[in-house]
Amino acid sequence: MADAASTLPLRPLAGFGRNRHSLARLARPQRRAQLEALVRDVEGPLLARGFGRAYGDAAQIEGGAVIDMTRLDRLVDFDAGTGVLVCEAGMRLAEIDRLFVPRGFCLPVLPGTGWVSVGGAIAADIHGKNHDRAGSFGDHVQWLDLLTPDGNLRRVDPLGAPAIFAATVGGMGLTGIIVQAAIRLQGQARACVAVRERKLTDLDALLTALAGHRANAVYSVAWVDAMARGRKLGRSVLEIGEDSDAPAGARARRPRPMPFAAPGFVPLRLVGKLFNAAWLARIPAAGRDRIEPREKFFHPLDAIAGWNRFYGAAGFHQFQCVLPDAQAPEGLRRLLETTARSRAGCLLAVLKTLGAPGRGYLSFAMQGHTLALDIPNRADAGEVLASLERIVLECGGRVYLAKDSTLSPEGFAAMYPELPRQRKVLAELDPEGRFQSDLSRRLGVHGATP
Amino acid sequence: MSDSANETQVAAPALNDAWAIFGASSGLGREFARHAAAQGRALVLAGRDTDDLDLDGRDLVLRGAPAVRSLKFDALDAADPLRAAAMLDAALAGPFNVLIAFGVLGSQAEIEADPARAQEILATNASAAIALMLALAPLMERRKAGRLVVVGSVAGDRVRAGNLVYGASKAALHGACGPLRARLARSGVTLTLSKPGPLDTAMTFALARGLPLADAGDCARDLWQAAQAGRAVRYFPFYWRWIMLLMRALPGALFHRLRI
Repeated sequence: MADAASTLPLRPLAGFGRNRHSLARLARPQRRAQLEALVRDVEGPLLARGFGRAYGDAAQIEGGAVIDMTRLDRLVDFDAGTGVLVCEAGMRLAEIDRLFVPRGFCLPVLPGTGWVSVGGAIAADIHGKNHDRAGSFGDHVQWLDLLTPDGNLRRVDPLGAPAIFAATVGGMGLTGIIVQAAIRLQGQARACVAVRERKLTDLDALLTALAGHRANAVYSVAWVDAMARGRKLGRSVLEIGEDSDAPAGARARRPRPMPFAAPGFVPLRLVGKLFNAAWLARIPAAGRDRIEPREKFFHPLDAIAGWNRFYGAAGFHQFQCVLPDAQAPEGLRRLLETTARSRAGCLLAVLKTLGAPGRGYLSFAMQGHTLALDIPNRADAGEVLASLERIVLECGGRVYLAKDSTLSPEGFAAMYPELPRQRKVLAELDPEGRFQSDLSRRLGVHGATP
Repeated sequence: MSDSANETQVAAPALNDAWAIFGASSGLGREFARHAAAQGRALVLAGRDTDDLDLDGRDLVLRGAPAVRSLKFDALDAADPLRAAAMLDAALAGPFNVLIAFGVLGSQAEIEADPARAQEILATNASAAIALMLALAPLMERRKAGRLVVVGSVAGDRVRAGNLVYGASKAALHGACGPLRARLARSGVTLTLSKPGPLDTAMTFALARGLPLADAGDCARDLWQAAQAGRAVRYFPFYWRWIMLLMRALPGALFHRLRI
């Protein structure tokens, strides 16, 4: 076969933020043999993709071939004694919960959307609202089967192949294609989450409250009004949750489609102010307690399908960083001030705490505070993102690759000190540099070679 | 993996009221099998890639199927319909149900460049499917119960120039379903003809974007309901029923001038 990729349809691809687009040949195998043939036969750069929920340019490769893994989504094995589930990489996280919560098991780590594949969750070493307790997704992976760049299928576990494991967990798909993985589910799953919401007036109050809950809360997350400045800077709603099986009134609803996109002339700064004011106004001064179905608590944004289209053709950036605890109060203040002053504005900001570092060389997590900001790709967004990057560097923090499309190669190398070890594994495993992404090219993940 | 795959092949007593899925790796076939598994039905998965069907089998057992086995079936092998029927007859003592979901689309441009390709498409979508229906019919009649579900297409309701061979193959399949439904009904067996519009499956993946693609899982659940109710024909999404009513009503002189 001269070039298997030439028969594949050419498609424009973008991340969930729709801020960087590139053209690639796209395949969507639904049998293992089709996947193996693609990795064997396709010439040129290659990359796996899941549901496209990375916000930036992590799951696309200009001029290459992208393999959509979402139809390789089968359950392979489950041991109710140990809770270890083996499934294909295209399996959706929310689907695992849907199938296993009734049997008393759930995923120990769930991100803000249920539309994440197991392969993507490992490759980005994602985290949830319980990182202090549960760690990152990769902490629960027992082993994975990797289709390596030479076309062979290799069982990778942390003891037998520690370097390849560490380069694959959090490795953004550059070591090959994760075909299936064994994940330890958590027992005693319950269908709902009991949530306590309370309003906090400023950043100091928020950080104090977060610190107070860090040791004992199961889930914690704060929604911050990123448009508030001065004395109101950091005003927020803190949600503290714990597993519960009290019946919730609401039945699971199908997601409603995003009804409209904001045209370019709509001042999103104003929309952001109104939205955040409304968000805060929902919560009575004394706080409130509710019981929510798991999917509503973990994946609130999934209620509106394609909500990312709200930002229109230019898309938006989600900037997410983590700052070490010691630098968090000052660093967060600077990040929020910079955002609130910008013309681009910010519609949604989320603050969480993180615990132990992940197992991958490029894992995002470190002990600290993580802030995520939705910034419309308008006006001075580029300058704002560059300023935010500088603040994160000065604080000794790092930017989350799964959200990123603007980080500089220098910033990346400084934020990820284990990059040389990642490069060493990539040079051994993929000397021709077959596996690449727009992100890996932009950041120079491979170093000088490909 | 292969040794533990055998676990899914236990010939269990729960094979009663099982579903046999022909074309089990197809988008609709796989989703229909998953729905059947969630309803606690045993399954037989028929297709060419039995290694991969064994993987589907493991998935379906974990989704609630009491037993699953794989069956090698190649629509282009003339002996396979009878061989598959004999295997089902031996393995399934009681009434069983069948979904025939295999098919190939083919590219009209490729077929016009090499008209011999038309034979392969007609052989798969029409000849093999009809032969299989005829091979299975006596077995199902003898059991006096069961549901036969055949996947046709809106493309077979009114054949377009741009999709001539595929449309003609599905039209032939539709033609066979009417009389066979009447024959099976005398023995208490139902036949449901599914006519989906374009679904988001491997078959349509390489087509130019723009046309709305329906979800195969939604189609499978809808078809399951229709089969349980013994419906003769089921369009999916529902609006295709009305679109095709209009298309069939258009005079040929007008329809074939439309560039659709």
